Amino acid sequence: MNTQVGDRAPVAECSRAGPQRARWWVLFHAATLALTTALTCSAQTRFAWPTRAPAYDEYDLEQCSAAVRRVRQQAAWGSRPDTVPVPVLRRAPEPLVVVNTARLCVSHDTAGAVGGTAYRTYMDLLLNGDLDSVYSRTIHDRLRKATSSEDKTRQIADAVLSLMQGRQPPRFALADALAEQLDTLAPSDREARANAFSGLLETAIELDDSAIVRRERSRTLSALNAMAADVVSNPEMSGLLALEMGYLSGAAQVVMGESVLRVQGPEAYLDSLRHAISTAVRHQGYAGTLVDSLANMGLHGGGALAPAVKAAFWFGRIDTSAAYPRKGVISLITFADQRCGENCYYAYNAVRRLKQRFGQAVEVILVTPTAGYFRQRPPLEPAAEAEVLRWYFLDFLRLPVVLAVVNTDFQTAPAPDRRRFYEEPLLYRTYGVSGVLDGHSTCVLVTRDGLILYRGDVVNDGVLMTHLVADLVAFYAAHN
Amino acid sequence: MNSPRRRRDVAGVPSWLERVFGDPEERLLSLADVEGLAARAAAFARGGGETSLGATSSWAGELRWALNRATLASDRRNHELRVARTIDGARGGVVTNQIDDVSIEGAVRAAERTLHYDRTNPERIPDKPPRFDYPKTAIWSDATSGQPADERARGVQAIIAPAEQAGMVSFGFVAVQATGHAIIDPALGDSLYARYTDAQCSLTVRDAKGMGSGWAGASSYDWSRIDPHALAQRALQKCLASRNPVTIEPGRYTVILEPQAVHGLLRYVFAAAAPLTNRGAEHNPRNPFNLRDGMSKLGLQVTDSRLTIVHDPTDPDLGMVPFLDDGQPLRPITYVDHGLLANLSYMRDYALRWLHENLGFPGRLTYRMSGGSSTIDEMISTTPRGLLVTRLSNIDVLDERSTLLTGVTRDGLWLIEHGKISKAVKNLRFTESALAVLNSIEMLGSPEPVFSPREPAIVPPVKARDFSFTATIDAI
Repeated sequence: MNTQVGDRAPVAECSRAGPQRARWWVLFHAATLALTTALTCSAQTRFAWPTRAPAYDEYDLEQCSAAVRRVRQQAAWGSRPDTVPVPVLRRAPEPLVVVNTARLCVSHDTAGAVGGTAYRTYMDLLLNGDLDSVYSRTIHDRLRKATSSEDKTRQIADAVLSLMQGRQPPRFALADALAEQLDTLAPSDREARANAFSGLLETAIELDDSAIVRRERSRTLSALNAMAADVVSNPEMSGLLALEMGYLSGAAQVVMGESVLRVQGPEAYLDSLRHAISTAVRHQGYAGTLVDSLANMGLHGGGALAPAVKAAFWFGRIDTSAAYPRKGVISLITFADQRCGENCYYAYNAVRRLKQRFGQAVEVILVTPTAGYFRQRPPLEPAAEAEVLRWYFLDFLRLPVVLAVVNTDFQTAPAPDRRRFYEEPLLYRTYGVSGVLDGHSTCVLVTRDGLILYRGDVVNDGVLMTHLVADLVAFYAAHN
Repeated sequence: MNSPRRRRDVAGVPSWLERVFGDPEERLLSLADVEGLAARAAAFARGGGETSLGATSSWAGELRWALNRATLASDRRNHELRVARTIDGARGGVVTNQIDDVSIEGAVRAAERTLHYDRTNPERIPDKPPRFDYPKTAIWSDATSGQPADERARGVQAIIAPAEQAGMVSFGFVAVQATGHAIIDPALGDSLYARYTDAQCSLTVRDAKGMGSGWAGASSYDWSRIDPHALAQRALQKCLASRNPVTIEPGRYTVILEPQAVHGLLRYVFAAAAPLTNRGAEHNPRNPFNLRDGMSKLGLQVTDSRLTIVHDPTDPDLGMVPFLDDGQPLRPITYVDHGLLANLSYMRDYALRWLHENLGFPGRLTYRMSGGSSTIDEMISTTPRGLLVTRLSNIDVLDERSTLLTGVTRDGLWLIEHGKISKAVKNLRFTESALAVLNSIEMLGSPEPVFSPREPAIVPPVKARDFSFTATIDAI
């Protein structure tokens, strides 16, 4: 290869530029490496917990519904709804944060755009967001498009139930306005109609609102009567319907303060109940043992003399020589179990409220069985366990009750099995106790004469029970 | 912690690297460290309530190889902090691996946020914490925690060498780990802390043409109890002996199950005897130890009368952490005593409800199975026709009630004829009940440790009759 002199200059330039460029390359790569390493290390060591705000406008309706439930759960955190009476709880408005979430979430949807099952979710969200006017407009638009009277009845009935049952707070005005339309329609679907009115009445009873109960009772009973005509061929349905009518009638009477109990006393109340149920059943064309058994069911265990509570250990008794329930005192016998835990808090709070309202006029006897252990402290001998139970119910829970600890007999399987098998206490069988561990424990209201007036469930029948006690107290006050 | 071997291991580490990654001598958090972290976490807490902290710090060294060449060498360390906050009975918790103040405060805040998804419950009252006596268990080995990386590498070279010289290919791993585990929870009362080690070696040697395969493995808390060279020789010999297998008809055969194969079956018997549910065998009709509704087979003969199965945390060959995460101590329990079902394992809630004891038997798969002293050679010499099984794989449960299992043999299956191993055979699928095998035992060997990382087991070889094979498998 021939090399000319002139060719050398560029080569020399290259040889000077080479190291410089290489140096820049090294520096560039070193800087890139250092930056990457530093960023990686800082990402490893400076982890930030994410606190991103939810993008509600990107949510679909199901996600919105879940978000509202989540926000409601968070807003309610720390409060114990089971310490609040049902009527107060049901009347309480949704927390503002829940309303705002529902509004934000539902703002990008329109009724026209949703259909099928999403429609119900959309309507629920409107109510959660206090958008009652939009709800009303939407439902009326939809009713206008209904193709038949039956379809319209069903839609109204569904809407009424959705506005009342489980709704916080129930929308009486909206529901009532819709229910009025049912009266103008031909009774094509009697069951839906009866369900709508029952829903209204039951919610009114639950809320302890005598004005609405008075308004709704007659048309509910007439709707149920109309439905009875359809199901009269089915004896079981007919019997249950009669019971429901009896219950609605009895419960509504109590809430409205029209009970014969307050005026004429427990015997008359029980007679009235017997008569009402029997009449209702006979009205359906049935007689004999069926009438008697349904009448007894309608009495809810009332009418018999309360057996004496025989307990192994007593705490908080005023009179240690007397048999409990004491004569001359209105008594409420409730059954509880430490293993029930927070499931029973509603029942405990119902007892507290009852004592707060009626004081010495009512004596609450809390019957609890031994279980052989408490929390993680096994095994416990009955006397030691009774002491722990005294601490739990009277000191820890501060229940204003007379505590009766019933000794539960058990048998131990031979080794190597070694398990303990407990027998149901005789007292429980006598009183027909159920639901102790799930919080729906039986409670028995006993008059001053030792007559069982009502046997029910503390949770479901709390309002009714309170009215019964109030009526009893009023009756005794007037007749002493 | 100041062994000279460890010092030598870190001698070459530049000081700036030590500063970045911490002092290798302090790889595990001590109880004092964790208590310090718990105090810092409690100081960051807002809104009252209680703060509990679980901490697991670990160091792990690992070397994996395939086709006679190292594919992965690692030396890892990590902290896992489990921060939990409890306010009015509502509990929320998060996990982080950062232990600086900013991160711990972030974790506490996050735990407080998550507890709002839980319900408050005054019933979760701080009851008097139970006091337990924890058994003294052998779980720490300096030989494991101080194993230098270069020694591990040299060991693996020695494991690969025989296979390579024989023209075979070797695959496997050696892993050692040291862990410090602490629980600091006001509800437990005591601070619980345990340091434990874990060592594993598993290798498969295969014929280069894929015509034979042999496996050997061992695990223990103590590396010095593992002989990698013996394992390498064993895997190689099995590979060489299993080459060019012939096909045999599936059917019922007398089998000699090596300890690893027996362990594969026993796992499912244990799952029944120690269920991790609050439903005891008495109340679970699908449990094989359920006799009828509400009754178990306790006290009844469930296996061959020579067999005894014991879970004993103080057994020096069975290293295990002496407590569970809820603070319960491990307790010795004899599951099967000379064939009789002597005990079942229950969770604590079940034990409280039915046995009125505040301790459940924790369902840990750590056991010693014993009852015989025969050798595998004796078993072979007394077998007119049968199969020798190295281990079982891909086991599935077909029927829980009868412990009917299916799976395949692997890494060495041989036909025995007239008291001698006659030829290698192709792998077979089995369909057999584990409890039926334990009731069909002809000979029982002396127990030895098997490969069962973190759940050590001592298991004997078993010769059982009428073991059911249902299909031939082409895979080697």
